Amino acid sequence: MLHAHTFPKEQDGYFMIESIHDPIEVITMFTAGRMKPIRFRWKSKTVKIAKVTGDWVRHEGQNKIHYFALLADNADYYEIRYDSREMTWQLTRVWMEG
Amino acid sequence: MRVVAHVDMDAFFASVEEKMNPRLAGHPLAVGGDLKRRGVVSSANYEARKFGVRAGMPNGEALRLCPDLTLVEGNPQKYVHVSLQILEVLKDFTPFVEPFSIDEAFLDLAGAPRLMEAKIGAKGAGVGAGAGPRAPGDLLAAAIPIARSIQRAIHRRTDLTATIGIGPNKYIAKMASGVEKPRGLTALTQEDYRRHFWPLNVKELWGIGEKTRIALEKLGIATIGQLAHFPKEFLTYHFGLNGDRMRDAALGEDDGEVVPYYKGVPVKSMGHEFTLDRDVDSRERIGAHLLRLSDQVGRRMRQDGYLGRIVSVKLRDSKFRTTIRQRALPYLMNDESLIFKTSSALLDENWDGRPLRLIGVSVSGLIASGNAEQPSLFDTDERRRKMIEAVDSLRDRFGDAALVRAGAIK
Repeated sequence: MLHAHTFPKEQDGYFMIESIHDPIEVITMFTAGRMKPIRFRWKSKTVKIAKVTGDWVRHEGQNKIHYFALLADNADYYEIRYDSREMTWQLTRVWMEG
Repeated sequence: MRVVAHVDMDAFFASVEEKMNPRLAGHPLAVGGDLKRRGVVSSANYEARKFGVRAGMPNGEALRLCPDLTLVEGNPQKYVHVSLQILEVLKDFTPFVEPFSIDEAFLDLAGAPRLMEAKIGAKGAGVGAGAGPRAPGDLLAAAIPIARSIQRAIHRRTDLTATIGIGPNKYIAKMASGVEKPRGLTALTQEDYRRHFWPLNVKELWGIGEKTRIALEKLGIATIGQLAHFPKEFLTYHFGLNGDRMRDAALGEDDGEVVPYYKGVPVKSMGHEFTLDRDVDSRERIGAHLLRLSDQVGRRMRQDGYLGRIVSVKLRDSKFRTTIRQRALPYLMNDESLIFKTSSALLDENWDGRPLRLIGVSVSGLIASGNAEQPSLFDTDERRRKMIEAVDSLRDRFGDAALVRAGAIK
């Protein structure tokens, strides 16, 4: 974990953003010319994706990095990235209730 | 008569973050620079604005004003992606779309089919029996349903809301979009514009900042109406070309064309700036940042095919006092070594050693490399040109972080 920011949101809890760069395993569907992550495994935990809320691309030289914003079925929010040259997935950001 | 729409996305960056992470919705939210450093707010949602949180405010101040604020680190690639989706939507309505910034665009609606009907009507040539000449307000009114369709189409495609201003020119359209936000739709004729804005303070005009407001106040000009009626010669005497522009703005006059996206808007300058982790008074460290910024600017100019002549340096101290100084070179260039050398000289001449919180470097007076009539420095320095080409080629392939100047690592 590189850094974390906590912000008090409610009396009985808080939301927490973490920027991380953990490798993950992802099950992906390829449909209509697009990638759609279905679920991923992070730290021995399987996260089922309820909705892909956004996606975008970043170019690093000739390499394309695909980013996905995801809502899990427990309503936690994740951002993951796929490095098309290395063919690896990483979890980059997590947003969960603490 | 032209009919121009100004489309302005509501709290764009914050809204994109809310859309992607719906749990943020309904809470005060701001998108800021690097949260590990002392960035500034680049966008705040409407819940946060109720607490006084505004774009341009340091993250720390925003959190003081609104302790419950959620601050999310901005992600330019994410916003560019959504911005391109919005551009696609706008192009469905008219090809005359001028992207003005990542979250704003001007549209010339005269080419949209329903407005064409209204225009035909204005000539008395076939929209209903006895259709006569139409007032400017009729033409603008005809644009309102089109603007509503644009708002709905943007929402369908992106889940985001937009405010639209409509006017007979770009300036009035831009000012109209500021009348009611979010999800606003305001159409103003030139007469409406004058009626609405003339009683207001000149600071409400787009393009007039605090320094100009004070300068105008010293001349006895407080309202937009007073500015509109002030003798043109006096304004030109005091403000040069800007005096003319300010008076035109007050009158609601603007003959600027909507430049369609496919023609490209000429770039006037390219620059980068950087807010430091903490105030810095070490010449060596500031020099390292200048080198990195010069490197980024030179690289971007070459990537986009520009040469430039005027190098500027921007320094902001811990008390938020900003100094901008520039120097014109005798030749065109896009070489970071020259940008660095010139910005370093400007730093040494204008910096008194006070701690700095922000440093910026930019190059203006740009022209496309292919249009350069005078020789660039590279024409006389083949060895340097080849070296820079080799560095660019490596970065094109492996990314900008593949090669970093040793001097920038301090």
